[in-house]
Amino acid sequence: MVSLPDELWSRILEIGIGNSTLTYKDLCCVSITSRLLRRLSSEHSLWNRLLSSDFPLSPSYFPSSSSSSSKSLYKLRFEIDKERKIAAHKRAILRKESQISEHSRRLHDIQKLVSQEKIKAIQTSHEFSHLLRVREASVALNVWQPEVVRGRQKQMVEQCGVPAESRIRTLEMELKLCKQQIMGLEKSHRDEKRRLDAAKKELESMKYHPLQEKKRVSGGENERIVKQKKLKNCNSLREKQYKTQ
Amino acid sequence: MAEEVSSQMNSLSISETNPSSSATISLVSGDDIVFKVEPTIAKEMETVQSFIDETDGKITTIPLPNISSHDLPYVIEYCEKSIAGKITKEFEAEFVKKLNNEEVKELFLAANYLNIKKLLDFLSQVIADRIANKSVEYVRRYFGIENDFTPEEEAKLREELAWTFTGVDPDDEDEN
Repeated sequence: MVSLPDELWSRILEIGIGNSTLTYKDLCCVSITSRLLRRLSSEHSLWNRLLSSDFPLSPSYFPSSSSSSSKSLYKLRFEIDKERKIAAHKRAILRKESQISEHSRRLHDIQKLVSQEKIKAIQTSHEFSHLLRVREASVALNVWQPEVVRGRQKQMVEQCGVPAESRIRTLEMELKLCKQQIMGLEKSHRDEKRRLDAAKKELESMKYHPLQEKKRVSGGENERIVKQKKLKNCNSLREKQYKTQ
Repeated sequence: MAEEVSSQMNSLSISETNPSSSATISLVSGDDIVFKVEPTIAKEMETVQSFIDETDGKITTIPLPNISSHDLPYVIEYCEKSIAGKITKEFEAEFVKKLNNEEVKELFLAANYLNIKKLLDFLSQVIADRIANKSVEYVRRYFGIENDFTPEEEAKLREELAWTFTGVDPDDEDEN
């Protein structure tokens, strides 16, 4: 095994950071490999470069911070940025969740409409078949029938106050309309369901986290642990800063 | 490429130039293989060139004890391309494909020894590419780095650097 002299290591790190092949993660990773590399990878110039490339918008207060290392400054910025990103992520999840509940509310509404429409259709078809019988009866009145039957038919025709013929046509129309309504509603139901499923899937992928995946049994507790960890991180960071000052 | 085994490398290196061979420079690898190259190529190798300059061009046989006959052809190939202005992304990709990790390192050292800036930068990039986004263990293995931390120290370091390894949630696509 050939070992590389210091200046070559520095060159690799410099070039890697310079054209963004290597990131803060790589530098930290390299810094754990050995004492020599820990020293080389903590160079101010490397971290300053990362600072300006990764957080170009943050105001640079280098003069005052020259006492604390660029690496810890980077870490501080990184944590702030991470907080911001986590907050944004939480907001996004909330948005998605409200979107999902909106979808399910609409689905529910549609289902209600569908059942209403079905009831109406059933009623209409009942009336329709009744009227058909009335019409038959009124036709039958014109021919000779036994008196018993004739009396019943006459009663039926008289009970029906409306002119059967025109009523039948309106009912036919109404039934057709009902069917169309139901078909339309069912279609929008399917669409809405598809949107709901898509939103659910999105939410799932948003919630996915490679490190937390295994722990995601009890969501609430998990979040608390993360928070504690964050607090601890912040605290240790602060301590470190006190020490360096 | 002419190769000849030189058993008396030392005597060769101090021997005076004879006029007929002044057109080429002989590079002698660590395992005593001679590579004859054009003077323009030697110019790319700063170490070699300064050696020639110091002796006013009288010496044209240069011993390179740190470089093996396995690596030297690669160096020469790269320099040839460099002079011809034919260093393209494709060439570099092909060039690298031929090299395993150990060879990359050896070439890197050779480039450093010969002080060939272009090759050095190029190989730095190659190495950076190969260690990017890799684990600590991988980097150690890759370079044969000896872990000189105690287990406690290493655990502490890892704890300290945990902030880098807890991934940031992928939320950016929703930020618009």
